[in-house]
Amino acid sequence: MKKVFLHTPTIRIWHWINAMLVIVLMITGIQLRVPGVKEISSGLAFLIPEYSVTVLIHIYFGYGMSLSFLFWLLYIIVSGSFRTHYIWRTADLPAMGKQGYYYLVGIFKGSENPFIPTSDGKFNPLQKIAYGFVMLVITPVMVITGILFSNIFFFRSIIDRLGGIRLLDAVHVVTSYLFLLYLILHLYMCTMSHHVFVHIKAMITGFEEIPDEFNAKQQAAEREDKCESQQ
Amino acid sequence: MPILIIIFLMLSSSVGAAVPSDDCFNCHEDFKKRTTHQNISCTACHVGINQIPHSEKLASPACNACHHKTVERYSAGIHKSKGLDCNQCHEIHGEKKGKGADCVLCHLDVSHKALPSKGKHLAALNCVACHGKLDKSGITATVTLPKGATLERKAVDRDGNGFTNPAEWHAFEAQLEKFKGYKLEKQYWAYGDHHEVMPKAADCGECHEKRTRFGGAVGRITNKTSYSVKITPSVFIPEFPSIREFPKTVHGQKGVRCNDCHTSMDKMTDKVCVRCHEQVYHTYEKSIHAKKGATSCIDCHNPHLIKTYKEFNAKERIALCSRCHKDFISRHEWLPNTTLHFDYLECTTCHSPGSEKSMVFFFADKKDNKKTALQYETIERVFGKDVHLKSIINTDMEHIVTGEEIGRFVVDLRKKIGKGIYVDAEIIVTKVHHDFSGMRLKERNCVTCHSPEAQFYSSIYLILPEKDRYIYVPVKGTPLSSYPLGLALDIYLLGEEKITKDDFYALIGKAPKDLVASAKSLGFKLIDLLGMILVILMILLLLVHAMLRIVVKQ
Repeated sequence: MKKVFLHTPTIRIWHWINAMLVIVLMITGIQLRVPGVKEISSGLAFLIPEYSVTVLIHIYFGYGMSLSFLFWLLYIIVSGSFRTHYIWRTADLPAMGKQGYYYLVGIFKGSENPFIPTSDGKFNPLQKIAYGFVMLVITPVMVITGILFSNIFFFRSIIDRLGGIRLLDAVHVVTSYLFLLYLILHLYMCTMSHHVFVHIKAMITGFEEIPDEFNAKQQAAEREDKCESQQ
Repeated sequence: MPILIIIFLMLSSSVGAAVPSDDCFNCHEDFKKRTTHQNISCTACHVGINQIPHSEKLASPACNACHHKTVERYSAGIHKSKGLDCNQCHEIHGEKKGKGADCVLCHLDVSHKALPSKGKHLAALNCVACHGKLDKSGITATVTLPKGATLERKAVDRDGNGFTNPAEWHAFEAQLEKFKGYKLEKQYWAYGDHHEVMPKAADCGECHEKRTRFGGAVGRITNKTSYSVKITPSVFIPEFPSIREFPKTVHGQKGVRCNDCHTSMDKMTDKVCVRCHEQVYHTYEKSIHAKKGATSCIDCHNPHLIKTYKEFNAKERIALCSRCHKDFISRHEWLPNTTLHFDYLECTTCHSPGSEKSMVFFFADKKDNKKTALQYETIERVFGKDVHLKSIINTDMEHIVTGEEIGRFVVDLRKKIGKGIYVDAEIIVTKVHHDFSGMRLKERNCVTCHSPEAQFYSSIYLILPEKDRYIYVPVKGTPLSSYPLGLALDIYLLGEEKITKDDFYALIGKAPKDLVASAKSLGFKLIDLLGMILVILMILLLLVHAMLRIVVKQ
């Protein structure tokens, strides 16, 4: 068993703070979108805050989310993590098919994961697409529309110019559904390792455990890479 | 200048005139005692006398030789046109100096029959106030507090802007009651030239409407320290529209005549209103406003107003309440987006629980970020004279209009008038229940309004401007979710179109052909529908995936 260092302490702390923000925003967001939820789940009613309180929580956690997003953006650019982990490479295109095939078919046949995370590239092509889309498209759109809604009166002229509150609300809700879909997938995919908790552990300790057979493969891959670069 | 003339006349009488005044007094002995014009020789006015005895027929003295300006003003007045000369009012050789004739010397039996509140008017005003051309006029209210008593300036000018409005003055008067022995004197002063009496008395509107007379009022409060404040004149001279406008008012249209209400010179009380509006008054009687004696009917309802209460928009209704409840914004700071709420609601939307609230739509034009409701004149310009919008919008001639019909009409209006046309909305009371006891409600539960179950969604109207009035046309269903209106609307209500179970079941039951059309009609609701379906599918897919993984592992 070999341990690979994947996540810096900053990213780990950010990830869990961000996770907390997302969960609170999701729950309060559902109550905002479906105000009747309190009546529907009468058994849990004591857990669900007053609507006005929910609005406040959503607004302030939204501000938190905006700061969190800004911090993440600055961090991955400054630390070079964006270049290392997020930029799409030519080798990613054929690998994407293999990765998809593995998740849908290969995993049930007992084949190995074609991607081995290293500190030089911790995301497989599908992860790059998913994370890139969520963090660089969905989150900014939600953050911007959310900030506009946090003080409709103040931002009224901007809201009007962008197409009115109804349109922006639709955009905010569409992106939040996409985020929810991603979140469900993300929560499920984090169990997709040789052991259910490996990925979660990695996000806590920073090190991911990689089985020895993976190690051998990885070394072989590295050798191949070297050869290619020499040629 | 007049002094120079007098000196000149005096000199000329003693030096140049052939006949000295003393000679005249030999015959006209009575005039020797004159005090008026006593320094002027007889021949200064009675020109053409060179010797005594003089000829019998003399030219009339020309007053304008000295009183040039006065005679000029007099000539413009009614008295001159009736052939009256100066001496008919003025004793030119009189024994008392200065005083002209009193009006009542001639106008002894003036009845002033047509003058409403005759006693009040005649007691407060002099003749010139109405009949003369005025140089200056105004109202001075002098309050003399008992010795040692003090009332700060803040008592009469609460907001400290140096101007006392009616609400501030009424509150001040209430405070005055605390002091026994205070004096409040109102003086309606008018300075004009008595010589220029107008053919017709000033129109009532000059004081009560346009305020070209008595257009300013000053309050002088005297006690240990004295100070003055400017006061809105309507505090002392009530406002009413001119007689010309009265037939256009609701009362005028229903055939109410002035003296149906103005039965005496007393101040109007609720007793007058209750004769017709009995039921409403009995409801109001029990409310907090009436109980505290704070307001009578006419404090909120101006019986001379052309607009009915129904035609007031939310902003105008708020303006009415905020004359007394000035701090309404700061009192509602607990309400998120306070000012935004007050753009679309009126006070009684929340504070009159018994009233029927409705969502009302109206067409408006947005130009340079300024929103104005579309007026009948604009509609008439586009659609021709005597147009009834209802028949244009409502093509199937039903009593009710649908969201689609409104949407189509907006698209049409945009082509004809401009891109700025949109449908604005407000949530206002449409059937008033006069019990406004709903104070301190602090309805903190946003979902009371921001939910599909909100009361006003079951009562939706489209307000259309007609000639001289507005009509309320009921709107079918929940137009917010219908597609064309969704485009036209520009209202800021989040959460008005939640998907319901019924929408979902309605979709399931549809044939594939109708499914698309019916899905389209859901508008923005479709987002929730698709979102929920995708979330459920995703969970199912992952569950299957997880199960397979477990099975394969085993």
